[in-house]
Amino acid sequence: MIELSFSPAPSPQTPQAVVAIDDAVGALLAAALDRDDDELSKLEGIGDASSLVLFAATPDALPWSPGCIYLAAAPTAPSLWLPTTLSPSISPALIAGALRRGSHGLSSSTAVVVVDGDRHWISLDARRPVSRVMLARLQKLVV
Amino acid sequence: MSDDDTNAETLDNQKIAALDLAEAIKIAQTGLTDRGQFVELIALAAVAGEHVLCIGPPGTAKSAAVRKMARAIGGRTFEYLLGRFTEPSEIFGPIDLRRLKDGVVETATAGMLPEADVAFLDEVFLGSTAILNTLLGILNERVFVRGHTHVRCPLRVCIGASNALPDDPMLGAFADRFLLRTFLDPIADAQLEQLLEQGWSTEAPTDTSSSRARLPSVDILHQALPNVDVSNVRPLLAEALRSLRSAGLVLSDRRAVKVQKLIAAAALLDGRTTASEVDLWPIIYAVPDRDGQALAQDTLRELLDAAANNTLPHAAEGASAGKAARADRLRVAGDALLLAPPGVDDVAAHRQWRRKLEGTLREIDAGFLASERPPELSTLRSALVAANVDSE
Repeated sequence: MIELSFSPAPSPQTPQAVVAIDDAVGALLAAALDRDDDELSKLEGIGDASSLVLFAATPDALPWSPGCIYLAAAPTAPSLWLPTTLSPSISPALIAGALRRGSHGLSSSTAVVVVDGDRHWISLDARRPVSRVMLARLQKLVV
Repeated sequence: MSDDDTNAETLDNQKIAALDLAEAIKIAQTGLTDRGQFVELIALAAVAGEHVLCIGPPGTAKSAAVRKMARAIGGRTFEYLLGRFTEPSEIFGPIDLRRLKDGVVETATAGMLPEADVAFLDEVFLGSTAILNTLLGILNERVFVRGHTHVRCPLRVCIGASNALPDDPMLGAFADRFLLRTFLDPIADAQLEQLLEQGWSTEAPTDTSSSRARLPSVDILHQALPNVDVSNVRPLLAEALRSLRSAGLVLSDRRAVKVQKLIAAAALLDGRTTASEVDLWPIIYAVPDRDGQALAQDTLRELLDAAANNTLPHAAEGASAGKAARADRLRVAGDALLLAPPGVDDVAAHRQWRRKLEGTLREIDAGFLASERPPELSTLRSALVAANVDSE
């Protein structure tokens, strides 16, 4: 069995998404809600009280908040989203293949996030355009 | 005055000259979107006594960037769009008819390229053989020779521009005189808003109070070039050249030797008289074609990881994609933001400033693991976070 580990990426990827886990979710929600409607219309997202992922076509459209982590789709396996600053020890294509087999094809897109040494696997299949209402509803859950 | 005092004064003058050119670069970059690297390469070439070839499609602000840098440096500028039917007299000056009556073929060079400090030749490869041959003398030897005219040229830097590199080997030999190569693309989608905004504001009359002659600073640094200690970086340069050869990229011997001038110029512009591994990055811009530059970046990734330059952060980062250069650029951008927060009364400007603040934080967090972040960048990040909190 091959152990999956992560090391610093030799050159970071351009961010395409931002994720917040647990305590950091509230700050990312607040940063997103600080945007005007035009800026919000450039975002897609998926989230609950324990994780929030926001996607944008261009890095400039992605908000910043304390504790957030930026993600990019792996060039060799676009269904797998990894932190821009980390490089996996196993080929992303192999990880994506294993995920597809493990989830019986239920999850076609997954993010792997490492926070304080803990790995979080987040299904990205249900991502949809972000609205102020959706973010406000989520904010109530977090608070 | 003792020798020590004289040396100290010389070093001070060089540092002041480097700061002066750093200011010129900043002035030239203001109002230009994503042309920081090109502007910095012009400064590097001027100090090294070399020339820049800029390849890119029409409408990519080549002329605007050169004009802004030429204005910021000061001195006499000559600019011309060459065509197939351009006469040598349009570039070098007409024959002096009064002297011709005396049987002397002399060129009246006043206001023409032989008397220019900075030259910009657009569509440079369209020049006739007569023009290009005469240009060779000016670019290489800084001498204009035509008929009885034999003039020393004050040219500090020539910027040639073209839509593409020439296929003709004869033109290739001429192109080889441009040691630095840069390739421009239209502005990326993400920067279109910035382009439109800056393009609109540069239509307004510009402040000319900042345009003063900085040529003496160029000259001070150029004259200091032979005194820069490149002995530490020479083995690394040899290693880099060997790696490039192994990857199938052979830099001509002339180019390989001249890269040392670029390395020395980079160190001087960074305020140092000893070059080190951080100054190796200009080698990328000496690779003649675009694919070669990309391959060279990949091949030399580890060697260029330490690349950095306070005065030329975009050029250093563009060449190396190294952490140090990226950190330098972010530090410069972040410091500038912290220095100039707009008043809270100007809601739109304040909002835009906050977005830029967030943008810099995003670049830091997306580009550096906390454990890998240089200490100065961590300090800047803390200041940016505090400024972001205060501005809410």
